[in-house]
Amino acid sequence: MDRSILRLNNRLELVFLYLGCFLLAGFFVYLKHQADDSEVLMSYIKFMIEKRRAFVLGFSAFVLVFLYQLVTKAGTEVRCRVLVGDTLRQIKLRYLVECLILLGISFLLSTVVHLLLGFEIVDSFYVLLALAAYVLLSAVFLGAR
Amino acid sequence: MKVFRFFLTRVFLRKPIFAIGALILFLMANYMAFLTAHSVLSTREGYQQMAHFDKEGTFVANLDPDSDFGNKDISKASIQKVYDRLDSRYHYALYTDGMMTNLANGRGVKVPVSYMNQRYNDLDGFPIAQGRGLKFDYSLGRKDAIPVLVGEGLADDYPLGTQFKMYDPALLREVRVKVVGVIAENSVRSNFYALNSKKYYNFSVVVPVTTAFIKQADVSFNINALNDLVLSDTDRADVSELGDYIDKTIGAKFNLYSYQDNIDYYNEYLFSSLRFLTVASGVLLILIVLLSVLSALISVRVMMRDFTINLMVGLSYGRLRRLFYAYYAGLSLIALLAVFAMAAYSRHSYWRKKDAFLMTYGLCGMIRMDWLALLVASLFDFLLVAMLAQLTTWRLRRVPISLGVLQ
Repeated sequence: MDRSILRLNNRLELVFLYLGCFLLAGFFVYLKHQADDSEVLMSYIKFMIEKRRAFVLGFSAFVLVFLYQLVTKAGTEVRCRVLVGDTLRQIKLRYLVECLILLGISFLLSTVVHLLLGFEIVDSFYVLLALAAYVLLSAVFLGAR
Repeated sequence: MKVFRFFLTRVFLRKPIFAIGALILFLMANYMAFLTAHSVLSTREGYQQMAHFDKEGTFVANLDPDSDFGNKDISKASIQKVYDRLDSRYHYALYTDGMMTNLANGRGVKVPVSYMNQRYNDLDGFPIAQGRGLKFDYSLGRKDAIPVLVGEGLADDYPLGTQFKMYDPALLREVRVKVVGVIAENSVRSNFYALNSKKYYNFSVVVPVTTAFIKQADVSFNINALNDLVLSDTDRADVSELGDYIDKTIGAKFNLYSYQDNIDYYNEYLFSSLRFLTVASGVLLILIVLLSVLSALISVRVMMRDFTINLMVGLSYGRLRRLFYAYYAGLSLIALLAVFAMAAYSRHSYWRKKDAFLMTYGLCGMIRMDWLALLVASLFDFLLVAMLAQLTTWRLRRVPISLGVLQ
């Protein structure tokens, strides 16, 4: 943790963003549950229900923008760390592990919320995979500047 | 233009992730705004059509969903008794559609035939583009021609005054018909109980219905026509008596709703659903605005040096603001075009599938409602673009040029 390029507020921001994505997936599941009971409502919000995964993935693209900003800002710090003996590979690995742990915590928290509300968690898995892919992609941009 | 091109290639697109992120958000905003506006406009149109029946003493029949009507074998004699009673005691407006016939036409479309009686024609007849309206004083003799209306899509093959033979799916025989009018382009009817569900009559033939026609028609026509029967100048006691008579005679339970009953239904189901849609869309659009603003501020922070270097060498804040406007307007235009393409593709698909009730005329089949919904989406875009351009310039103004350059 001491050698992480993420600050405490970065970690909090990330957890909030991850949770936001999972809760948004939950929001769409809530819409689906509401529409399942009413044909009329389904006729109105069918486009949201049918494309809910695309919507959630669209919203989650903001996480990629945020991660990109994090790794870009950390460029100077990475260079300094490399100068004092750290390796880029180790820095990237620590970044990946930390981001994925935060993602895991957020997923568990959101799963608890979903289960409490009686929502299925299938959609959360899509979000989990997408966010994990964003983390891996952002690690590519991590480097010294 | 030269400056914009420079900024586009050297600054805005140098880190394409921000442009892609903003484009995704614009796409979702446009899609959401377009479809929500479309649903609202479509329901409003249906509600306005329903208002034609807003008269004291008017009741609309509707088959009770719990009635096992479809499984019954109903004789012509028993259903005729219902119509005899209707003729003797009630004023009723009759309209039914959905029966298809094979009528040769340039588009190769299977043609739906609609039927309406004179009272329905007076209440809510089709708008006519050419010729006169339906006439109901015709004879059903084999040599006589029935005066009919044709949709705009059939007007080239069967122009005004043409006589031709057509298999009538209600009479179950070939009849001679004469075109006495062409229905106005994109004439539409909404479902009484799903106001956003539409049928367009560009490829329909409308046949006038008389008492003699009902007597000669097939049982299936008689049964279908009861589904949306409109009774006028009556009261609740009389209509419930009719409902009981229909139930006793043909074993089908019909609910007969007054205009107020329908308004109550709309308030309970339709409008609450519409409210739900607008609230859900509103929440998501607010979220999109919020993320767009955050994304724009992040992109400015990351690209601070690029902007401040240009400010240092003479670019004014006013010009920079205009560049932001042009950049975000370009992204929103791409998103709007994508939504337009999606809507046009959807309308065009009905032409490909030859779905007569959904084929519409207009640029790429787009009708007025589509354009209005696109206008709503573009107004939302305009507000979002203005907000993003002003906010990003405001953010840049807060950073001293010297600090920005050194970042």
